[in-house]
Amino acid sequence: MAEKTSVPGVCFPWEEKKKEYEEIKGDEEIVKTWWEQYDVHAYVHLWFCVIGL
Amino acid sequence: MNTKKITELLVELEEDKVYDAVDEAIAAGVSGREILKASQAAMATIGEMYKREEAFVADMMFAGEIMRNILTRIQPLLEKEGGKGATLGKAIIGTVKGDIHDLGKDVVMIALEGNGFEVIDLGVDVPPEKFVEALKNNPDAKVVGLSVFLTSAFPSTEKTVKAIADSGKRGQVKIMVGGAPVTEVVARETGCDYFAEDAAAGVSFTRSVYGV
Amino acid sequence: MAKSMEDLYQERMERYKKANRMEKPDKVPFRPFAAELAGKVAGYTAQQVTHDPDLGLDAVIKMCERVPGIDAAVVNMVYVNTSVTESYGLKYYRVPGIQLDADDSFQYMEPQNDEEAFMKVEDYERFIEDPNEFVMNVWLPRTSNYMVPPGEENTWKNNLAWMKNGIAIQQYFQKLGANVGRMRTDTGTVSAIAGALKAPFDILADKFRGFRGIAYDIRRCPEKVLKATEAIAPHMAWNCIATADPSRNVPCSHWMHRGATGFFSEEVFQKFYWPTLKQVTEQIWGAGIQTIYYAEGKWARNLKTFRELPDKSIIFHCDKDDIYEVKRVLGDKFPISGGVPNDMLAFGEPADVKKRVKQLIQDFGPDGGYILDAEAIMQQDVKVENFIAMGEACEEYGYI
Repeated sequence: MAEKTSVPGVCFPWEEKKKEYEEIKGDEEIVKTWWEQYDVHAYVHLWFCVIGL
Repeated sequence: MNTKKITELLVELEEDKVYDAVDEAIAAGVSGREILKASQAAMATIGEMYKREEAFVADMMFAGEIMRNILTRIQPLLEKEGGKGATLGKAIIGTVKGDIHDLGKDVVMIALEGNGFEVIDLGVDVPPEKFVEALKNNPDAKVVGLSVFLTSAFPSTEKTVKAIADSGKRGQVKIMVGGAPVTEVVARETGCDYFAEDAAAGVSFTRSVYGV
Repeated sequence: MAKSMEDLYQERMERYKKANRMEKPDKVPFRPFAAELAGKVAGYTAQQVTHDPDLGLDAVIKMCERVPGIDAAVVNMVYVNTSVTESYGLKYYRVPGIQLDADDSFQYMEPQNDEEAFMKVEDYERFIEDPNEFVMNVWLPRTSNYMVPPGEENTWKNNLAWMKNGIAIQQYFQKLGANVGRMRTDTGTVSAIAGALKAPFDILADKFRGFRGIAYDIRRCPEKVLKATEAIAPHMAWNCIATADPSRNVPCSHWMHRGATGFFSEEVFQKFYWPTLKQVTEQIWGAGIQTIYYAEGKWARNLKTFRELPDKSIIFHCDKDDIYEVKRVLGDKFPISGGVPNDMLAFGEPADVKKRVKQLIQDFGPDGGYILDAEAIMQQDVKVENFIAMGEACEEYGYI
């Protein structure tokens, strides 16, 4: 969880995650796509707890 | 000192100013009961405004909050004076079994107390036997108020009225019922005497039962 | 040749879509919002439909099979599954079969004061600055008996609660999706809604500050309340659009609460409730999604205000208002649903219900843009024979 992430649809932005890797040897897009895929699910999940439960 | 200012400021929900006015009155030697009377006059006015749709549930709740804080301020005086003084009568209220909504009940309580009635608050999810027990412990109570928010609690409303009848206390009291889904039909079908459309109607009904 | 379930489904979808878009369908669609009542039809207790996700969803399928003429239904009108909420120790529900009798409805326990509120008055700045951060780090731990906020000593129950919260909700959604499919293949019924919206002011009042809290805050710190509604609005819109029907066939639902006449003044409505709700509704409409304004209580005072919204952007569901007045004020701009009183469904007879349905269809059917439903969500107090009468009457008189 990023310290401040007031943007809808994002919990832990890719830009921040990317900094943890020294380098990405293969296709960065694959890593990014799947990072964001789970992150957006976490976001929807989080707000479902507020709106839907 | 004139306590009219307290009444006016409370009607306007001027929270800080009304506390200042109460503190001034206390300092000037006004009795706790006088301050209470002035505050109750304001609550009655807010109740009237509510009836005319000039005040709303949120205003009643906020007025109730201010009233509680005034009572805390004048409590030491009231204790010295032997309590709040005579009330207009007594009502027993609660949200029926199976229903835990308290907002409607609390608004009615604020309105009744503000108008000078004593209220026995049984809380929420109140089983029929608790109403019966409260009636036994308070034989001077002439009004029972049932609060219902869920349509699924209609049967429980009917059971409460029946339990009061079975206990032999039905003749002692008038039963009013209110809450978002309640209608004349619901009041009639569940055996209640009166459908209180809102808190102000609940106060008017209680006043009429007590003839005040 | 008999119609296949898929033919029936397509026919009902067409009908439902047309009515929602203010066109005249072949028949007035019957879209009952039935919660615990579905369980009653299926022979399940409130505990069974609320706590057991399989039975809860199965009840709706059985309801669609047994009650004639249902065009669209909601697979989870009992919107909280309490086995999910119990899995991570959610505090604010009273659960049938646990704290309540097995036949009572689940209920939300609203915070009584600032001490109990899941957001304290001093939390406004933090909430406004980053609602995401607040929900994750403050709100969720405060609403759970097990979750621990960052900085506090961790526990095994905390670790487990986060895991179970994820697993339980995920599983529940899988079941939900499967049952939406089952409703289509086994009963030919349309899933009536997808995606949920709450007015920013409502979410703040209900889940964060409580009604009492917000009633005091609009007097004591009005600017903070306003900023909080503005901070939360983009999240409401984003989540609604993300969870809406991708094919844009069915509307999302907006459960309206504290804006109703009686709770607050018109000034409060115009200042705190309406601006962000309008903004969010327009944003959702911009994404091609209609919103059902499920107007719990009375909203007569605000009907004219709703006219500010784009044509057809909402479907107005009428609860305690006079539906004829609603039709008069909004009928040229928005479709309307509702009309059968819940006290009639609970205490009346099938003949009364049929008479009422016939009248509603006669008065609103010919113009199109009318969807048959009860006034309020139907719970277990509704007599099953009256519910069936609603469906039968819609089949009998609904072809217009």
